Amino acid sequence: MASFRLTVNGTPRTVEVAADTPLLWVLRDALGLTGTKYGCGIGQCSACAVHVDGAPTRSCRVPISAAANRQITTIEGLAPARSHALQAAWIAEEVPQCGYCQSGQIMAAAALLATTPRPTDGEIDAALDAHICRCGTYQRIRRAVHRAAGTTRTESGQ
Amino acid sequence: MTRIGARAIGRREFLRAGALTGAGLYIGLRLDGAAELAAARPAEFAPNAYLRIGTDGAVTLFADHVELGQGAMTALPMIIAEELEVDWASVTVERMPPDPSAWPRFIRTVGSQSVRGSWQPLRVAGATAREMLVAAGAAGWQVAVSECRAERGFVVHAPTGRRASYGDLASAAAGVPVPRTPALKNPRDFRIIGTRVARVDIPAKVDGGAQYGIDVRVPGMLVATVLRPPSAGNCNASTRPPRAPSRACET
Repeated sequence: MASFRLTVNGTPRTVEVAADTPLLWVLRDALGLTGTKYGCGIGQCSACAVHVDGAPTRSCRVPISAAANRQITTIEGLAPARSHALQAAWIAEEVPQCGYCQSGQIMAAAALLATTPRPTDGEIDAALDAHICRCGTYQRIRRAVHRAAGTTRTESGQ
Repeated sequence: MTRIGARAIGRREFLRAGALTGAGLYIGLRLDGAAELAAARPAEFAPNAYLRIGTDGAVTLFADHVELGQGAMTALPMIIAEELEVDWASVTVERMPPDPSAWPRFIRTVGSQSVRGSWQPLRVAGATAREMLVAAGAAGWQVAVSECRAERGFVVHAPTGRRASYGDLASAAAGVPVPRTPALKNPRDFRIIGTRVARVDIPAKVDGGAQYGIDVRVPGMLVATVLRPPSAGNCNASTRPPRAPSRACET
C-alpha cells in the first residue's frame, strides 16, 4: 500500500492503496464515485471510461500509480446539474435503456466534442466504437451526439 | 433450479419454465432504512402501497417492478395516475421500498409481464383512491357522490362548481371506507395512457446517479466474486489468483 494524490473532478484527493489498483476501483471504492462502471475489467467494453488530463481513458486498465498527480474527470464531474449539452441531448433523445454503459459513452462523447466540435458520423464511430452497449442504443447515441453538436447525420457523411 | 447442462437454455425457455414452476427470480434483500419508507406518515392519504397523497397535495406513486430500461418505472405509475385522475406533471415516482413484507403482491419483473400483469391491479389501485377522494369531497359538502367528479387532482361538485384539491381532502379521504369494486375509466377518456411521456429513470442515467446492484454498499458488506478457471474443467488450485485482492481506502 502507498499514498497517491490525484485531482478528481477538480478536488485534490489522497488515497492509500496498492500501486497496481486500477483507477476504476480507486474511484468506485476508495472515493465512492460509483457513476463509473465496471463492465469487463479488461479494457474491452469501455464502460469504465473517464477523462485523464482530458483524454478518454479506460480506467480499469490504468493503475493508480499511472493516474497519480493527474486530473481525473468522471461522469459526476462532467457538468453540474446535467447541464452538459450531451446530457441534455441524451435525455431529449431518450438514449439510455438500462443505462449501464452510458457513463462511459457520455464521457467519450464529451472528449470527442472537446476536440471535434462538429463531428461526422465517421468521427463519432471512431470515438465510440469501442463502447459496447448490450441494449443496442447506438443509433440514439449517434443522434444525441449530433444533437449536442448541432450537426446532422448527413454532414460530411461516412 | 436451472441446471447449466451441455445444452444451452434459451432465454425464453428459462423464463417460461420459471413462470410455470413459480420459481422466482427475486432474491429477498432487506436493506437498512427500508422499513421507514414503507410506513405512511400521518396526514397522508395512502389507501394502498401504490400511492400517497400528502395534505400539501404532493402525489407520490410507487413502481413495484424493476426498471431495466424497458420503461416499467414510468408505465406502471402512468396507469395509476390515469385512474387516480391527476396530471402526470404533478406526480413524483419512487420505487416500491425493497421490503417484501410491505408489498401488496409478489413482484417479479419477468416475461414481458410488467404492464400486462399490472394493468388491472394498478387501475383498481388508482380508481380506489379516486373514489375515496370523491366520497370525501361529497361528505364534506354534504352532497350526493353522484353530483361530484374527480378532475385533474380536484374533486368538483358539478351543480355548484365547488372544488377541493386532493391535498385538502387527503386527511378526510383516509377515513372513507375502501370501495371493493371501484369504477374504471372509459379508455376514450384516457389523458395519460397512450401518450408519450419522458421516462422517469433517464435523468439519473446521464449523470452517474442511477444505482445498480454493484453500486450498493451496506455496513459490514462482504464482496463475492465468481472464480472461473481459465478453461472448461481446468479447476486446479494452481489456477487461483496468486494473492488476495488489496483493500482500498482514502486517507
